[in-house]
Amino acid sequence: MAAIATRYLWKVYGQGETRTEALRGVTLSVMPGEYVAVTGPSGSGKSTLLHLLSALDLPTSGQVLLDGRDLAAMNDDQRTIMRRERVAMVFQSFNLLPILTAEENVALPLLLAGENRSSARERAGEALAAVGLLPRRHHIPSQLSGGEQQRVAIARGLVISPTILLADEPTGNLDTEAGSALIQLVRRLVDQRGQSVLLITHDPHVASTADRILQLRDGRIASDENKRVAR
Amino acid sequence: MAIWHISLREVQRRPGRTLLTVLSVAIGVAVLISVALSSSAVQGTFRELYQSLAGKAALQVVAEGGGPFDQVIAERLGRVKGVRAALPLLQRPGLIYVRHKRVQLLVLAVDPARDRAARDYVLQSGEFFPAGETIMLPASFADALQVKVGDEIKILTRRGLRSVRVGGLLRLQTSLEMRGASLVLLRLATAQRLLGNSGQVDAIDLVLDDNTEESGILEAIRNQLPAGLQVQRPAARSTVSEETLLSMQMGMNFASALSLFASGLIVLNALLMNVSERRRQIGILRAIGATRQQVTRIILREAAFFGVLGTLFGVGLGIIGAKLLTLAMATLFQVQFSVPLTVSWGVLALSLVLGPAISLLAAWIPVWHAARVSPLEAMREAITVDSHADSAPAWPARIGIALLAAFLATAILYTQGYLPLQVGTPLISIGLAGIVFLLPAAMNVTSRMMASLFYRTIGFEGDLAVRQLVRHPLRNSLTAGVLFVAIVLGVGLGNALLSNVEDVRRWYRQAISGDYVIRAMMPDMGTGLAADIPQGVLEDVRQIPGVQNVVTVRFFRAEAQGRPVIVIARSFSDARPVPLNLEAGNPDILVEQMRQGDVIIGTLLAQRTGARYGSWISVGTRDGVQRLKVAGIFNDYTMGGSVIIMDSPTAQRLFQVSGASVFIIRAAPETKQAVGVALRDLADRQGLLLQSFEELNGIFERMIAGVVAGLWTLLATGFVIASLGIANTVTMNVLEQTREIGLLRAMGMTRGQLYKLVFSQVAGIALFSMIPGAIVGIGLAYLFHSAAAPVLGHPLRFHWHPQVIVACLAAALTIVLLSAWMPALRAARLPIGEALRYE
Repeated sequence: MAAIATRYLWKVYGQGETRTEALRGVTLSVMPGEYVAVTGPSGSGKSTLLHLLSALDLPTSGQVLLDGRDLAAMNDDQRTIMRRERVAMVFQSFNLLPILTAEENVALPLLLAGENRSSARERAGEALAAVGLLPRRHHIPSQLSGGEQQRVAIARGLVISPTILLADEPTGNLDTEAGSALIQLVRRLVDQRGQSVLLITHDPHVASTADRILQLRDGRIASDENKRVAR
Repeated sequence: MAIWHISLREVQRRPGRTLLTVLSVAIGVAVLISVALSSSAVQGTFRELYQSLAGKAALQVVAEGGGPFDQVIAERLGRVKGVRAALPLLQRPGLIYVRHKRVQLLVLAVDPARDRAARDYVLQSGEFFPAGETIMLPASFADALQVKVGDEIKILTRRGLRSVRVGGLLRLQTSLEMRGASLVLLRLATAQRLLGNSGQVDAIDLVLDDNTEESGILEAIRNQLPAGLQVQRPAARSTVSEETLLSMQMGMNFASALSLFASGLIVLNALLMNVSERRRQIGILRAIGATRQQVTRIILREAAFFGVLGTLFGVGLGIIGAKLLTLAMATLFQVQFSVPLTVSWGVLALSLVLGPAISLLAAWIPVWHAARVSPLEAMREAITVDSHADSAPAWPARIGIALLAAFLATAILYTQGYLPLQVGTPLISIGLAGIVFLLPAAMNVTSRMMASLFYRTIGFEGDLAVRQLVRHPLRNSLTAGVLFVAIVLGVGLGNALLSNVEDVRRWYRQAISGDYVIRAMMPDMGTGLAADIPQGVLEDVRQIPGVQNVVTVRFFRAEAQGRPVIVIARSFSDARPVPLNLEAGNPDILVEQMRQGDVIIGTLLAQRTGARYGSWISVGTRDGVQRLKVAGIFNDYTMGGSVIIMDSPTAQRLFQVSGASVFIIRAAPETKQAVGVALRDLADRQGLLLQSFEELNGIFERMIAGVVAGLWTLLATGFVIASLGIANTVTMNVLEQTREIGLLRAMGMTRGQLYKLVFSQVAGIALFSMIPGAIVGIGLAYLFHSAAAPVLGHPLRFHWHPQVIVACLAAALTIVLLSAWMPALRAARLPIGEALRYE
């Protein structure tokens, strides 16, 4: 069974003259342990696809199946809990809470799920260790570099042992060196932990590290290149 | 585009915040105007009544005790150099019946041939003061009564109800006419006959030559006056009512000062939020060449906008509020004519200056911040702006310490009696402002403790909420400060108010003893006087089977040691102890002492004059100043407590006043009902008021309820203003946290958890204001209690009223949660994707 899959996914914004079809019947699936990069020009529907996959938004029609369950058929609380327990998200602009330390940011999904503070901290420490940031656990985001902040964001995703890690231009705000280090980290997670990853990027170099590259154009999948099969 | 467009667009961009800020200024100004206008209306009514009645008369001769005196003296006074006319008149409260409707009014009896020297009136219809038993009415008053020339009405006289004919209608050229004053005018001779005062008058109005100064002629007039008569300015008669209003006035002033202060805090907070939110925008302006002065002007312009618009709304609201408050006070004080609401230019000007001034003053700190925004801020990413938090600035603490130091220094002088009583209100306001400015520092210090408490009680969301609060300690603690002021006001004034009410209840339950009261009318508030009960009624009452005792009471004005006082002349025919709440005196021998000519004085009078039990008090009488022995001091609320009680024969001897305006009747228990029926019959025949003591209790309770309701309304405005400030801050907090809320939702925070987060933030603000608010409020209540003695003349028994504290805290919590409702809903409905992109 696919970690995450979509069937005939449509997303339409606006009505009449302002009607915009952001996604037009996208069907895809990401298998467990698969690393997929989604590329495409601006306005091709990448971000919309990510929002629907992460249950931040609802499709106009079609299905998003996470672990085989349709997200669109759930109510807000059910979707939220699915997101909290199954989906890890990494954003271009890090999106860490500035008032929390690195450790607290990583522990956040666990605390939201009602886990007690000491256990959440312990697991956050493990996740931070996995991304090599344990010594910086007590620093707040403004005391960390961009690359470090993004690694904290990845640790925050990993701490819940997600079904899928969704990343939206994770290297977009990083310099080349930090960006490369981050992509190596993602690759390692896939190779060593069998983590499923769907990553959106403009950067061909980043896309080339994935097992499979999906190209979106005008809301449709224009190409689907499976490098693993090719290899 | 002119630079002022930036201010305009900024105001338009945040209509909700603009509205809340403008409303807070409006309410502050409205409370100030309502209190100032209604107070000046009620006081001004009394003052103006006498001034208007006096017309062009600059001076007035009256007897000590206000009783009638021989009018012959008018001839002599008319011959004094500089006096153009000396006009004798009778001027006293009266009662008429128009088609079975009782109307309390003022009877003014004049000599029409000469009276126009002082008062301007023009005949509108009928005849001008025709001979016979006729009266004249102001045209507007007659309209209100639906009375025409030639109609018969009944007027209460010393000989009972008498029919008189309306001879004509007058158009008065004074403010009285415009306000439809309840006034009846008679020929002096007719009134003297009807009222049984042949050859006697109540006053002589003196109209002076144009070039004569009052001060220059006073001595010459005094030389002509026999002992027992005095010359005064006409408005001096209203000083008693002003004294009566003093304590209520102080409470209202305090409430309005704090409301205005709270409004200023909200403007300060709104502008601080504004500047903090617009640092990048201001940075861009600076980067492209805006000078600091230009940035300063932008913020000042916005502050002025809030101030001016709020003031304009506030003036309108205030006038409506003043009308309601004036009506309430008119009902409370039994003022019988429609109390005019004088929209005084002074008060208006004060508000028009104060509203914008408070706004501009509050803008001073935000302006300082804005002017120091570096052009580099424009270069920063939005995300860094997002993480920009107030770093616990030191200036509020400095201001707070300075204000508290000023408060303590002034408080020492105040408690030592070096400063006037009126300094109390600004003094307490300064102290409270000092505490409010210390709150940001306190928030930083206590945040860990609060976070731990919230984590234990609310959970993770509580902990997160406290951290969000501490991110902006200034904004959130100033908001807490507004609520703090409302709680202090509620707990402090509320507690003091209830203590006072208990004292009033204790007083009237002790002071009023008997079964029935008969009177011609409720006493006039301005003078404390009431129409006399007709002669012969006393005998009729005594002859009713079952009547055990009748105490006769008469109120009149006098002067004791230069202070206006109300004298209560009562009979002491009953051997039972005098029903008074005695502070000092021997109740066993009191009746005997009174019969010997001693007096009992109110605590306020004792406090103001320094008179003690067993000492002597100087009272102006018809035979000059007499020293009277103080046989007792009692707690009293009649006319504010400036009261002297004496035996009726003593009053007759000293002031030549006779008759009674009130009978207090006691019946044998088994005949009480039958006596009531007989008295009702008698009262109906004579056109008098009969009240059982149960009814009187009801009247007092209604009066108390009126005062309490009025003051609670004022206290509630504090909470209304606070709710605006809280809504403003919480909306801003939620707006600023949009991206974080999006993130938290993306991370798996449910809507329920989000509500918890937002409500925990406001609960933090509430907690931060409730604890110090309750403590300072209790302290203030105690301070009010201590300060009540100089105002009331006697110490109040201090009682804790936990229900007031609980009610105020519950009100605070309720308004806080209600204020957060809309922002919480907004937060929960945020589309997560959009929220994550919010900058």
